[in-house]
Amino acid sequence: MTRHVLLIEDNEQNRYLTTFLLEKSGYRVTSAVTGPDGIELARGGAFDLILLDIQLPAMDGYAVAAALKADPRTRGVPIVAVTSHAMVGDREKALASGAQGYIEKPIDPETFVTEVERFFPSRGVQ
Amino acid sequence: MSDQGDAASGESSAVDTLARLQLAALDAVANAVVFTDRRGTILWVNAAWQKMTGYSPDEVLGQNPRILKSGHQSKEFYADLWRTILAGRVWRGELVNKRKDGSLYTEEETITPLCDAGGAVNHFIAIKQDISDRKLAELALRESEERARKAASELAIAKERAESADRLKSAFLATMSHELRTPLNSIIGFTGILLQELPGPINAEQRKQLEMVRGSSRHLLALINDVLDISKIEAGQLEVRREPFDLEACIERAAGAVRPLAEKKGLALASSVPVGIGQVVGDSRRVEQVLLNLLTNAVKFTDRGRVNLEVASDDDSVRMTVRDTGVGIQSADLATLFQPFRQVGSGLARNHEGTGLGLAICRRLAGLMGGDVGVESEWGSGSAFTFALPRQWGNR
Repeated sequence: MTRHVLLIEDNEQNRYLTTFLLEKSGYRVTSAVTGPDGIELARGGAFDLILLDIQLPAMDGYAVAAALKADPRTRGVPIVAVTSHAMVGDREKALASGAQGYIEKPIDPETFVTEVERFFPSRGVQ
Repeated sequence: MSDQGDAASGESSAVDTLARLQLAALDAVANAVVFTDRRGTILWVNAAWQKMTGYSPDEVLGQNPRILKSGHQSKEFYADLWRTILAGRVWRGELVNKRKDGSLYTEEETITPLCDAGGAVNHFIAIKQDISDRKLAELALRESEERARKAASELAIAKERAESADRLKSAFLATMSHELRTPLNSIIGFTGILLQELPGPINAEQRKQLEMVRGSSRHLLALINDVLDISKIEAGQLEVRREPFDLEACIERAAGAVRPLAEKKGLALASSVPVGIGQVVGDSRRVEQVLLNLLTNAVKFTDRGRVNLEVASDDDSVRMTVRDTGVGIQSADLATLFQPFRQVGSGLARNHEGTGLGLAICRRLAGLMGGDVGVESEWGSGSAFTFALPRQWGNR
């Protein structure tokens, strides 16, 4: 079964870049441009992972992560924060708001997919 | 009779002696004393009064004390004073008076009415003390308290300004970091995708040119990272962690990252870590960053020979020395080596791409962790950079 990733990212080129990389590796990607749209999509669909940009306009990624973790419908989906901030405490802040992983921009296209794959929930061996 | 007369005259001479003694005492006391009749006419003044006012007895006997008036007290003030003492009550107060020479002084005064046998007020005795010095001291104290209050409030304002400047700097750095990295994400990302031929095959010339784009964009990223790092350090926005970490693993990671670069240049890269080096308290990422920088520099400036990372440690500190057999540094350049944007030798700078910020960052990072980075070098025979790090930074 194809794994389904929800990408929440406001920058068009970055959205295209991430989508391209993931689709090339066989993932299905649905993207949202704003935090509220992303939360709406997450509530309605069955996603295996959420890639979340932190520097979103209006509702930032920390708030989006907190909202996703507060909602029983989306709580179980792992979140990987992607940030171009790289300031002191960003990682801690991202992890504290509910993200499981943290990737800094600019991403390395050669290792990006491998990095993301670490955060998929293990499917067990049943 | 004569006995009685003798006794009477003896008694009277004893009273005279006592009266003379009392007068002499009143004249000699440090407080100014003045006797007046019930209208205020001066009958007697003592030596201290003369000294305080500058008037001699000749000039004031028969005069009214109003000759001392400075104009600093109101009519009501004097009316109240007279009402009090004429009613037979003691008046106490402070007033500003004028000396004979026109200068002003502040006196503390007690006026006591004296009554005749029938109980009518017929004289006053006023005892005064010049408290100008005390007043001046009080004034000086009040002024210095006022100055201290003002200074404290100015300090609070300056602190508030500095804090808001800090917040601004922090916000500016965060924004710059975001704004500069976002386009780079696209440049580095798509260049990488094209080079991986994910969208389709590319020819040799395209590959060569895309590799140039990738090289330049990585260099730009390194510059941005370094500039942000040094800006954060200068703005006091860079915090270093303080937790125990495995130094040997940290050294291995740094050496491992540089090894491919060294092998590409045919250089031997060796690190020797003493057994049981143990844990160090600090920021492992930052320690790794410093080591990586020193090792990369060493490889960059060495064309033949080797790069060694030697580690020595004692109970208090660890010294990590990166020694190379490269071009070395001329003694004139050693002084400016750790200043930002001071890659030495303009000719070399063209051959050795770098941001010129690495060593400045290394030294500052080491400083933040209570350590330092030093250098020894001889032109033509290599350099040795030593990164000294306390084991228990800040926990003294």
